[in-house]
Amino acid sequence: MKNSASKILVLVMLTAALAVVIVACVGTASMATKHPVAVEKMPLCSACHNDWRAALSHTTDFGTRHKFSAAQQKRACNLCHNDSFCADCHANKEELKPSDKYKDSPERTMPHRGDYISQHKIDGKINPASCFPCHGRQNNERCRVCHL
Amino acid sequence: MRILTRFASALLVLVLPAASWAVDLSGQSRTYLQYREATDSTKLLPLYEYLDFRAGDKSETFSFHFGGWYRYDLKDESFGKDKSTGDLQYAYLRYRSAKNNAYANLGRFVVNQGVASEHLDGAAAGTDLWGGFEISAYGGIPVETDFDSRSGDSLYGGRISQGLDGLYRIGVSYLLEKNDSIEFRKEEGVDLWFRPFAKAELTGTMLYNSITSDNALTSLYLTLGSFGNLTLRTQYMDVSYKDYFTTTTMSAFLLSTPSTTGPLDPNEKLALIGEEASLSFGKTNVSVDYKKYDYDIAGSADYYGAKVAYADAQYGSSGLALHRMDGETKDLQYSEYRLYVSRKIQKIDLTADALMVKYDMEINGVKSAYTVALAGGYALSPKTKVGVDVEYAKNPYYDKDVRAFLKLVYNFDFTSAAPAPPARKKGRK
Repeated sequence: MKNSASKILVLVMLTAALAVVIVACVGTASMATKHPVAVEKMPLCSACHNDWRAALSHTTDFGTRHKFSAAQQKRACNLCHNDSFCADCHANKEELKPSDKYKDSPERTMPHRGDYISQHKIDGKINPASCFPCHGRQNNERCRVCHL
Repeated sequence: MRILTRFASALLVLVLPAASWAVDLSGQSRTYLQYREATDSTKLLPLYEYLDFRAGDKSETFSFHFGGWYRYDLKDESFGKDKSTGDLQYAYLRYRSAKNNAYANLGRFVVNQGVASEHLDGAAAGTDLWGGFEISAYGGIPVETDFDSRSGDSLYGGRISQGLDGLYRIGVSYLLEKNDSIEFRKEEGVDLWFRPFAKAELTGTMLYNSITSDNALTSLYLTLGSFGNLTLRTQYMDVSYKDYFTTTTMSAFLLSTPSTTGPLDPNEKLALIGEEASLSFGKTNVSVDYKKYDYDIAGSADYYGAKVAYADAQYGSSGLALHRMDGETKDLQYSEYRLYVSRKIQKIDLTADALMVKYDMEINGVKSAYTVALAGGYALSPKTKVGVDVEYAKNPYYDKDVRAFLKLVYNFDFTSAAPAPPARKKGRK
């Protein structure tokens, strides 16, 4: 009885929350799904935008800070990038290193270039938190060949 | 290709209620053939097919997104188990409203919302609200390396943020993951973007582990500039190992505790401060950078260096980078060098990339690692490109490692015509 009452209470609260959300919707137009102007690679967004979009400029450090943009404004990434662009590196299961697929794009930041068998031991000691987001709980089947 | 187009069109017609739209289909097929040798001299020749596409109506109200890959070994098994395997990276149906940036996803997709950066089989929705507020939520089954079973696994959470365009956005987020119906992860986070004036921007995230009841990670990034040609970037990160590495599916990230035998010391804490000064001269960028790694237990390490990079969308790019890692222990002392040149000549692009690392302490009796890669590509048409690259390496694990990679990339798009409206009978108003 108590369990049913709590379920009803949760349902009522969720319905109320949904109603609040619907009423509170601002009514403005959604962001475009594609960038209206064709963008060449490594765009400098700050050349045209002076608001939050300026932070999306693909300067040489963008590889380090792109996680912040993705956490807050993924839909802005999708103006130019399909999901497959992200999935090339951020995958559930992947056998090819991103740097193997893109040897013809040496300007792109890719952490596994060169002899990564030796380097991964060093990176793992220096900052394992830099490996963890991609390999901590997923995309680690190749790692598990040695690290069971 | 035609079969694929028909399949996607049929799927949309079946799944979606409208019947009067033209269907846009666009995507990419990438075929890779890799040659390499395993450490036991086994020669491997895996063939990969990566396929992704998006199909939707013109208004983009409904769309279907798909990405996946399949591998078949033409010689010995690449990973000693299966001659073929694959992965469904994402496959979801998306509804997008023309108002409020409202959306709903259903299927397999990636969630990026504050603390969450997760693969999920489930549903997600979000919308903008009054007063600069945005709200989003998700729930389903986590897509992770299966280390026990997926029975009783679940993942859900959400994020609410508020911002003022051009000045700031601050978000709070929550995530709960259950493994076998038991709480596996319980995380809360704050994310921030703040631009008090045009030449200063602060962005960052903070992650709180509600199971250990302590801060797990703080990551901040400050950009100042540009002042003329100069831009300054400061990075700060701190990690508490006992709070950050609490759930993993791989032994390399296990903590050393009475119940688990892992390589990571739970009492370790890392504080990283980095600084980069960058001078930009049109297409050329010159920068010096420094990172200080401070550990509570392991001591400290300094990483510093410089790089020069040139990038031009039409002609190609080139770069030179020199860095040095100076750790307190010998195994964290090495120098690294990189030089690359990429050139586009009409339909051809050519790339040469050389990397060298010189270790202060020998690894397997070797003090240096070299890698040289040469790549060439040719655009057969605006939609089709072929490429080949060869990589030669000599390092502590290989006396001579030669790898080759062939690729064929095909971009496709297709628009089906919308059915014509039914003709009106003469004489009828």
